[in-house]
Amino acid sequence: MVLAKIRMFWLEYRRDRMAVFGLALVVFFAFIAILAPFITPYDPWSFVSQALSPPSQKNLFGTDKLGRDVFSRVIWGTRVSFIFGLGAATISGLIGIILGAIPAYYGGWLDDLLSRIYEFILVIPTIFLLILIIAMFGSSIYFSMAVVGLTMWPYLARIMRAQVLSLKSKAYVQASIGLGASGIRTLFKHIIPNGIQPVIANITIQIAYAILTEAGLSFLGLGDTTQVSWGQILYWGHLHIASAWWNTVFPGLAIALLALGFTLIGDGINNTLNPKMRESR
Amino acid sequence: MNGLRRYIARRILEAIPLIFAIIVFNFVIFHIAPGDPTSYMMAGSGVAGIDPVVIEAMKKRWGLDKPLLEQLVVYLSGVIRGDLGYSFFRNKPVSEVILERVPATLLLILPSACASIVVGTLIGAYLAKRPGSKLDSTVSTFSSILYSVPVFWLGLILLIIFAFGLKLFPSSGMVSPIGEYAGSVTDMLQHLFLPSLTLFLTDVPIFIRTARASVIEIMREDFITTFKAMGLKENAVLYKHALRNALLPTVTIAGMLLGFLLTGAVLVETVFGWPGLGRTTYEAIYMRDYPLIMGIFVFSSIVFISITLVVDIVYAFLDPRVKYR
Repeated sequence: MVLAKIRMFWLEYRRDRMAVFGLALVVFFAFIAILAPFITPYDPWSFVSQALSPPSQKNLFGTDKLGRDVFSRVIWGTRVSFIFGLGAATISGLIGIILGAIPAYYGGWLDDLLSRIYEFILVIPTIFLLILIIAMFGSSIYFSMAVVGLTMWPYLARIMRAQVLSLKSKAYVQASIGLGASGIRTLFKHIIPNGIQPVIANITIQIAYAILTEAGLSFLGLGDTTQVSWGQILYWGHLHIASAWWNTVFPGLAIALLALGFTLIGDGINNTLNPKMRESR
Repeated sequence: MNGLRRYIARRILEAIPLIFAIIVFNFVIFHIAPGDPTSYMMAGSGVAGIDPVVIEAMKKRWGLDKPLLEQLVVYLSGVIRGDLGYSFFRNKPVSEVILERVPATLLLILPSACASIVVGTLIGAYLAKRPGSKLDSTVSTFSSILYSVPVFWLGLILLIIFAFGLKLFPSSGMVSPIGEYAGSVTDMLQHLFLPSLTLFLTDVPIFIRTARASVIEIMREDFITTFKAMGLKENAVLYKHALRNALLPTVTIAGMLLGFLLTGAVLVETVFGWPGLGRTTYEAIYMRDYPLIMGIFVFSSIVFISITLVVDIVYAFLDPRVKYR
């Protein structure tokens, strides 16, 4: 039943060429992330060639100021950026789904209170909130990941809430309640599984957003300097932009491609779910 | 009209507790952050060698020797009077530092925002004529790409090409748009071009997408079909009637866009050394100038809330269908 649904979904999804391209990009980077220790030609932390030497056969993407191989560092950074994006979006997704669905289902003061909380988070300019918290509490990568996740969930909760409100009055949901199923059971068995697709599309787009945010924070000097993330490579690289463009171009290209992959998947899921929008895409 | 007036009053009343909440939130943050609040307040004063008299005065000024609740009251009343603290690094009140930098940021943001609204909306409306056409899918691919490119990286790439490669534009060096150090207008425009182009390129896809989706939606409505049946030219229907109605969603995303613009401004100003609020934020992070970081947070949140409020009110004026709930 579930498999059949996924199959149906895939048959629809693969008709969208850009969405398939996005999936290919993400799968490509996922392989790089998993295989990173086996495919990096050099240790990403150690000196291999003269500092700031341009791309060559020995160092495909050139070297950085400390003579480290940029190609190896970009490959290694795939892991860090992937984990950052997936982690932040997972935190945002779990909170968004639960805090979007439960209050909407039960209604009352809890629903009012939570709507106020989303509104509060949505009116704060996110970049300054992240800067404030990370500047004051430290910039370890897992902490930043959690904070980024905590600023993103209200967008998802809002979508989940709308879905629950519209599904609540559907006949099969009413039937489940009428047959004596508990509220939580009805919610998790019938409502969430049927209403979650647009939330998943947005979680995918948030992965892209989180990866871009990590890069932006690193660029502002709020990155985790103990990690080889794409944002860190770019941050240290751009200081030599006038003499060594390769330190800036390659890590940025990697960020853009992976973010593009996740964005296209998110758009693809949305288009598959609303065939009406597709002709209009 | 009475309903509208009541709606405006209610929206203003709702904004006030939000602003209070932001200020309280900021207060809580710097009290639960690791370390002594005094050391944050006085960051940059070289706390070790500082005169104990100054520390005492500072503690007294912020009521740091009093119970927490009283400190909160002192802090709140300070912020309401426009006192956001003191930057020891710059030896100036935080509010003065911020206000000095606002004009440069506006000079950077406003022209590129206006250009991206106009150009993006027109392109979006044009694409809506033939959804799914070759041109349509090409543009939509390009906008997905622009959306995924980190804004500061795009700025850096433009620098590599136009400033270091072709040497057409300066890479940085903008001093100030106003005051005694202001350069000539040509000089200013030269400095403005690359950062504005960067912001324009990252903002334009949002408007293309929004305008396109809403024009497609509107073109399906009965009144448009009626116009077409009456024999009006397609372009006349599109630009005169559909586009006008389709502009409303563009107004609603203005709030979201503002967040985008601010984020873009912080990063782009840092790339190009543009002397605005964003660059100041970067410097404050770099120097760990906590009073300035907190001040910028409170200031930008208040601006953000106010603009969202204005947008909502404008929207209510424009669209009579808005229910004044």
